[in-house]
Amino acid sequence: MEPPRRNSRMVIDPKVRQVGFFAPGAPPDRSQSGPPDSSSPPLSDASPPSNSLSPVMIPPPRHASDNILRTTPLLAPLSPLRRPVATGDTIPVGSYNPSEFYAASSPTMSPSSKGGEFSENRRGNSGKVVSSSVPSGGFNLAGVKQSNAPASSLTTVSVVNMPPGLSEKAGVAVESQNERPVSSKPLKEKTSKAERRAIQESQRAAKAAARAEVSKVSVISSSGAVNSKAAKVLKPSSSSQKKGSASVAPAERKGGSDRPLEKDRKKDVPHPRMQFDDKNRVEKAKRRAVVKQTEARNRVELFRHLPQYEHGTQLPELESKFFQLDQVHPSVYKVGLRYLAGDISGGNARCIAMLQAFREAIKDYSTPPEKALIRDLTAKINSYISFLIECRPLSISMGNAIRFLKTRIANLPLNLSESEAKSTLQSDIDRFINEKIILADNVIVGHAVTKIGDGDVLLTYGSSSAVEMILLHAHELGKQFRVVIVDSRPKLEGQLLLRRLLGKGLSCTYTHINAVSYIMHEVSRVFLGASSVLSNGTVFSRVGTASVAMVAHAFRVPVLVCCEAYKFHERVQLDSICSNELGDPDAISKVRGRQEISYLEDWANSDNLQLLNLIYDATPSDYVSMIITDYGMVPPTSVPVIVREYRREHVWI
Amino acid sequence: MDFQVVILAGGTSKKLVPLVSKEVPKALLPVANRPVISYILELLELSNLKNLIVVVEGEDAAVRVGGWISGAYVDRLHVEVAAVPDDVGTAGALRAISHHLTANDIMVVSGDLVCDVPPGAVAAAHRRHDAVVTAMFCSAPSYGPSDSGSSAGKEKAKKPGRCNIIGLDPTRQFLLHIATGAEVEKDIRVQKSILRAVSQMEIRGDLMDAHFYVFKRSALHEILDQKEIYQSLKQDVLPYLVRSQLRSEVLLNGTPGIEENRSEKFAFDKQVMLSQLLANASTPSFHELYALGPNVSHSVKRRTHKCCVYVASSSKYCARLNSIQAFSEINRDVIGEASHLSGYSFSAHNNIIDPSAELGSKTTVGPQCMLGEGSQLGDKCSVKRSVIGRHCRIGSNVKVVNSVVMNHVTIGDGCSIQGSVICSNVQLQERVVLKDCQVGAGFVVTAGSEYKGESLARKEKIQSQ
Repeated sequence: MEPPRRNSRMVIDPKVRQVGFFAPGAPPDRSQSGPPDSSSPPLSDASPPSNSLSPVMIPPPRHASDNILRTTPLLAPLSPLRRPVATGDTIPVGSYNPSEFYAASSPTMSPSSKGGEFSENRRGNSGKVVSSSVPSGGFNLAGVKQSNAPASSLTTVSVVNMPPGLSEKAGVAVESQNERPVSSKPLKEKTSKAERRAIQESQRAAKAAARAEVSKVSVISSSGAVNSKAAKVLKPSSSSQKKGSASVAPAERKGGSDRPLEKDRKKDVPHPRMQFDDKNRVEKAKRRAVVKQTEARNRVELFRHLPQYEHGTQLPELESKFFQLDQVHPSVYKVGLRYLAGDISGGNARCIAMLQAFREAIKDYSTPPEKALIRDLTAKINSYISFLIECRPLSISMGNAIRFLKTRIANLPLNLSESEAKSTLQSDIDRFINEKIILADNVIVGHAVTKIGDGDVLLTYGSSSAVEMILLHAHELGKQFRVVIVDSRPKLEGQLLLRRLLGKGLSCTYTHINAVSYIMHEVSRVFLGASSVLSNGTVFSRVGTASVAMVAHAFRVPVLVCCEAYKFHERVQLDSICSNELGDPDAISKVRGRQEISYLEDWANSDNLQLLNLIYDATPSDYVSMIITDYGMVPPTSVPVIVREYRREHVWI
Repeated sequence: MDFQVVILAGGTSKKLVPLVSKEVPKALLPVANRPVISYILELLELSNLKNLIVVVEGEDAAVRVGGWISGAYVDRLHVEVAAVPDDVGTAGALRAISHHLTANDIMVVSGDLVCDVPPGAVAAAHRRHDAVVTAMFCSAPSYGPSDSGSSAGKEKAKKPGRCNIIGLDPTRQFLLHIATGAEVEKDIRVQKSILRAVSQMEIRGDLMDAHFYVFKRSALHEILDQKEIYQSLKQDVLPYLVRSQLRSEVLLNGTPGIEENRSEKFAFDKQVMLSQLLANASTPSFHELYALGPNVSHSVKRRTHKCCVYVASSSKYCARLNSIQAFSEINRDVIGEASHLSGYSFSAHNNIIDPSAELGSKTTVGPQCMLGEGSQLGDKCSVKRSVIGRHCRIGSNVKVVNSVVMNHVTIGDGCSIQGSVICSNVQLQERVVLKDCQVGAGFVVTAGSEYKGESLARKEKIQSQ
């Protein structure tokens, strides 16, 4: 099986168009990752890992504890408890299907605004209590405002609000039994039967289309047809939705100014992997966005489907809205802000920062009255995630972590009290960070150090946390080796790594990626980090990694990729085009700190110039000799096995 | 978002003497016929900050300010008014209410600030860097609050906001040096350690401290407790924090020490690894680099804290009402170039004339003017770039240029008023000529008198004469 794959890869890799050409004859395993996706959610719950064939059939050694872990998951889908849970259908989705973050954004969100109004009322009263209880400690509180006079106006507000809120809840309760919460809208009750049916149908079609679009990556052959259909179906559905909402809107406007906004927000949740060349969707997403973003004008042809914004427009906008975003927890907000400002980068760090923020949010969370923790918390987390996505697209590792967290929430036993549930979730998050990241890194270091011998020259690219730990540990063990750090503009992350390594007394060489072909002569091993490893063995990592790996391959230097298993994903990707991230184009057109190099200063806005600052690239598995993960050192072809055999464990930890 | 807002509304400032009085504390001085404090309250309300603590110097002033706020914002804001004794300074005022401060971060705003910079931006900058203090700076007004009023002369040395000398790091996010007040005249002394850590410092003299700070509560409490002598936030607390930012004595988060003791080695290792992982991944500011030292093998980490700045863009309006000249400038700006702040809608002639105002024949009201309700103007008057309050009665042939006329003022025929401030209930008899004058409340200017650059007030001056 190996040689033909290799050949075909050689041809298809660089160009997209040829992907389509190869599709009809694609091996069966590739197209199979599609069907489980589109099958009904409960069915795909437990089955996909077992019936989707992967090219590698060797089952890896399993820990004894595995069996214990496995028993629970197998039973769980059978239990009827899962169905009514709003998030029930989010767990199983096999591929990196971003809709799973959203599917569960249940309508429970909108009443939160109502809660806000109540709490304000409460606050007013409590404030009074506080101030009256203050003893005269050197001063006195002369006047306390917010007397009871306004109480009447407040009550009228809540009267206006209550009926829609209640009916909405009723609608949810009924419909979440058999429908996705996305489609259960209170506005249905006001339309006629025929209209309802039409809406329902169009929504169903839209859903199918959306799903098809997600699986497009894997189902290459059918993607064209489905897509065109999807586009057609999508339009009427969206317009009908709009009509419906418009008819209801006036009634709700009275309730409060931020109410309609919030409704809008949950109604058409964005697709994290939205195709940004689709005008309709972009428009919709814009209306919903918390962060106002101006899109960059000149985008490179092939990458139009990726979001790209005028840099520098987002941050001030978000900052000025600091106090308006009440529904976002402060710690989540802070993390989002730091993502946006670029203060945190690196897959592990971003993931940890996000999880810790969620942990804080869960700690401060309290279930509103008449709500179920499971649903309400999921909705909350969803809103946080959509906020984070607006700040910066999620990485695959974060997607995995989110999936884990949501599964944990969805599977909380119903008889747990709120405080118990919260502490369970918090310890789950801690455990995920400890076991999947920290411990995994330790194991990786242990494995990788065996590959470092005296006199080795190790090359690394950029700044990877795992590689850094390996180098430092090897140094502590007293091994004599030299490190070559290859770096590239615009981020120059290697310099920070260099600084830290030098501080520990390692001998280093620093060079830029332009010189990699020269320096590769001396190198005996290449250690690389990764943002994600996909199930065809493709390594998704900082842009430039692929070229380093390719050069190393040409020089027959072994390339070892260090990647924690929680970053693995079953998606198959052949190129770095369909899913990637675009950075700030200014970063490459301007050289920081050197004003004299400003040849592109007034050219940046020219129509003929398109600047491309890619963040990631995909390294084909042929260039990778070995992947070092917490399950040991495996060849890239074994990634799907790990994904298949241990994914359940990811979910159930 | 876990913020608490404290508005320092001041009392009856000496710098504004003929304008402020027992009846009209500084916070209630009218700017375009609205008390100045309403501008900051509205700005905060716009940002969804509705729980405010207003600190006023003096009991009487507190009652007045509280009364006005409760009347105007009855169902919109939740405001607590606290009175502190006079002359405790800004730090003293905070000390007095410190047991009320419970949120993680405290926003301290001056009540005389008229600006349109979103408070969220400052708060976000603060949160992003986890700073101990974040101060907002804006470009200093071009006129400069120079000494115009005769009364302001003796306060010159102490006058804050005259000119700050500020050192910023190259990214303009951190405050490295600050000299305020009397220190401005002295030589600039920059700490070597800071300069070495940052390697580049931008010294600015054109920025004004807007007196808009965000403090970390724990740090603020500590400083207020330890440094009893500190009186002013701007002149003592902020410079202290800036000075000590690389050898922090402020206990930031006391958790690490405790954790070290109780948890066993393994867990501690993990914690270290985790924090290191996070630290390595984030772009370090010079604080972190300095904390690590030139040689990472140093296990002792130097303690640092961050002092951030938010420099408002020059397109934003930002001014403090802390001198008489600033008072007239702000009045002019709010109905002129910064008209969006006033909250009124301007007519086609770019002015605001209340429908109940009465104009005589051949009277002209130019652009950038404001005429309050119930005011009457006689014939052949001309009003240019001025604010006229409510229920004023102005005779004929009167010229009002570049001036502020408050409520219930009576102006006789043939007066000429230029660049002056006329407080409530003043009576100007016929043919009075005023140029660059301030007339205190209730004063009567006799017919035919001419004044230039003087400050006229009722009680004390008349009695002394």
